[in-house]
Amino acid sequence: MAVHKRTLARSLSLLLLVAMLALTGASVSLAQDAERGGVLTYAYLQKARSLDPNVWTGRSDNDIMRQMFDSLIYSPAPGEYTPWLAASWDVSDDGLVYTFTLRDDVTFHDGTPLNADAVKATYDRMLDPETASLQVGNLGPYDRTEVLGEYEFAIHLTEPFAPLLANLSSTALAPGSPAAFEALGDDYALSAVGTGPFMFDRWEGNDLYLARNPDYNWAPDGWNHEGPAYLEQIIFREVAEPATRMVTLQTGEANIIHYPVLDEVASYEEQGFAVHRVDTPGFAKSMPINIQLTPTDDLLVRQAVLYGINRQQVVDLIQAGLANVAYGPLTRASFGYDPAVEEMYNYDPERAAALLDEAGWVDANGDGIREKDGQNLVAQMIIFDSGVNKATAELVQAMLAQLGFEATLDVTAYDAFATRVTDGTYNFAEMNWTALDPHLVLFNMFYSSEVTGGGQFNRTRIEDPAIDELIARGRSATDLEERAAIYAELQTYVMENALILPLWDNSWITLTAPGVDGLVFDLEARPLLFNVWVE
Amino acid sequence: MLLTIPVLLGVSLAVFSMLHLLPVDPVDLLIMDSTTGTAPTSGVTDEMKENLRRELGLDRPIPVQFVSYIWNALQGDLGMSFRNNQPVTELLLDQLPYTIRLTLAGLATSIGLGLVLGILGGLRPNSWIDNLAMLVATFGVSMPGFWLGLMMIYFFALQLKILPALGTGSPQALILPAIALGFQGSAIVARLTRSSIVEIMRGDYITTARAKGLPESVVVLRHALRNALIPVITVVGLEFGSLMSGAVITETVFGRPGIGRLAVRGILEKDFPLVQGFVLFIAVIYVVTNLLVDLCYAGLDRRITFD
Repeated sequence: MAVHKRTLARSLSLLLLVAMLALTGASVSLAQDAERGGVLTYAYLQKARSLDPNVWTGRSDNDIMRQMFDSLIYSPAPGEYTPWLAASWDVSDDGLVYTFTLRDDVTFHDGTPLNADAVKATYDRMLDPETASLQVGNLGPYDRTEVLGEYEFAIHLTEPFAPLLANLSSTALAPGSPAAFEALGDDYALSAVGTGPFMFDRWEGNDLYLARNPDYNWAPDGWNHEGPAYLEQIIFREVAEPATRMVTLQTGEANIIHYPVLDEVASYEEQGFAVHRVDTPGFAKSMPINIQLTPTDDLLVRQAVLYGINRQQVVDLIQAGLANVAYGPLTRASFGYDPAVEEMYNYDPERAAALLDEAGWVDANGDGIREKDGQNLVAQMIIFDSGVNKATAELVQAMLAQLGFEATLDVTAYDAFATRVTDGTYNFAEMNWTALDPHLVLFNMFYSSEVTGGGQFNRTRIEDPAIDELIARGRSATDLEERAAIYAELQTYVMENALILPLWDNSWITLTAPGVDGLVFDLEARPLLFNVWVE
Repeated sequence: MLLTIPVLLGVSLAVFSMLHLLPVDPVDLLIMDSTTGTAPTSGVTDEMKENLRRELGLDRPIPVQFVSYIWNALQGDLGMSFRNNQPVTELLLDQLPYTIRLTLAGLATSIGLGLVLGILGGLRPNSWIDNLAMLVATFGVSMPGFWLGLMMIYFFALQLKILPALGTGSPQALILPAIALGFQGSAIVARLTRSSIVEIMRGDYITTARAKGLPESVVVLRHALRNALIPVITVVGLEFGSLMSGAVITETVFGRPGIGRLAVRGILEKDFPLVQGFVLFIAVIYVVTNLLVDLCYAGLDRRITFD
């Protein structure tokens, strides 16, 4: 009995202890929530040209729009979608009608309620030629939006379009305030009105001030808290010079930066700055190989290049090791990425040499350059001067020379580069493209209709009915597994034919100062500053 | 003075044709993502491109585009920026106060530092002060502004932590950009002031002034400096224009707003009307300051008159 009593007392006190701990725990986390806040100062590449996600596409501008605009649905992983502004949705069996039911408690920053009419107004405005929207392609074969009730609407398509859900989760199709479209007119572009956790406050010179949206209470699952954002204010200060951007982190004039000087990232990490790296979905940084021009019209030569270029070394030297080697057209973070390509061309210079011998290119006169029928093995490389493009191309050029190519490189401005692409006078060009859904990039890079057109993107210059068919099937397959299988087949096909020289998966590097906590990114590597607080 | 009109016409014609000689369709450049140098993230149809072309007036013959440009420019309308969806005149005027502030601060640095170094050197030619002053001047002339800017950020913002790295936000934020911008000019002013002073101090009227028993400071500041200033003012006037265009680099390095930074983006983004507007604007500044310099001569030296 006594024993029993003691046990009871012990368990009671244990219970009390647990309860107390739980209480203190709760109060600690409450206190933390109350304390979390602060001001984030972002040393930014350039002043935003537009804050209107329905119209403008710029990468750095879209990172700002993500803070101001919510999408209908949220994508926590490639091909996965969860509710955001839309509480639920349904896709018809024929893939032509997408019916959405919106949350009923959402308002835009100007107080306008979010309802079906607002969504319809957003898409109608995008389609209006007056708006000159560059994002209208995100709607695909769009027919119309039908308002079914206060919070219910249907998007009608003229043919199935699998990328629609991915596009609906991006900023491009995020609803804007119809009242603000009317009221602000041309000024809307630089003072846009969405439903997001931060809202436009003011411009000071080239610096943009966003304020916390105090009414925000519709964060999607997976964000770290409910209610409004922690940060009171975000300041995007334009600092165009990369070296100065790095310094502002040290002087405390900024506590977050992007587009760092890659060579300095490691030393900043040692000094206690946090390095955030996100690998993005889309088309890998690659060199499309022109299959219409000799000698890369020969499959053996193209395969030799893929075996003979040491891609790990390229990544180490050019990207300071801050990226993964790419083996196929799609990056690892893309929907439908197939790891099978990783086994196809591992670095093997001897194999490369053997393939070139087999193709009839031999260095008979001993000058280091292979010949066939009295012609040197030439490789014409073209690149436009931007970021690491030039250094990358020079390194690949040196590697080609080691394989026995007489490799020439023309580094020009984008205009001249685009002209060469149009003329088809190159063996190796350049491509990379961050995109949530693989369809658009694969279509642009490999579909037969994209071989011509001026600075076009099918820089492999391939017109192949087998590829066209796979791309068309991938576009309309609404079943995720079926769609992934189609893209797996396409990736293997592209690499079997050695159509591109993939170099690395695009990665996105952000640096933060100590004291900045909670930073996470979405699939497109856009920062989700809702989750951030500054100590 | 009537020469200013053909000068301005010539400048705008040159800029106008240069941008139109590019081998690529501006509409393609317009929809390119300027941050990554790649295509926009959505399908853009030919029809959309044609709409854009018509909207921007790029479908008209080039001579027509030029004449309409000049006609509008005369009325203060420099066209719409391709990229910002705002009139160029408005964009330039918005950013102008920042550049003027920086230019004036740079000019003050040039004149202040230049005069002090020049007078010190000129009064004691070939002394150690003179040599030191001219060493600083030679250093200043030889150093590119962006390098000086980055070095000063490194020392004063990063190492000593006494001044901010960015050029906006507080009054002291203007110090580093002003020095980066004005230092080169101060070297020119210093060398010119020095040689002027050296020559003038040998003049008879200086001997006369001294013989009258005037204190040396009055001799130097009232008699010598006044005459030494004439060549200096010419340079300072020209300097104003070049400082204004030099702001292009300084503003970028220090993350300052201004018309220079605006122009850099305009060039990178092939924003035709913006670049044209900027160049025309700078040309007007040059012409106007030259005019003002001419008028200043008369004020300083009554022997110079204008017919």
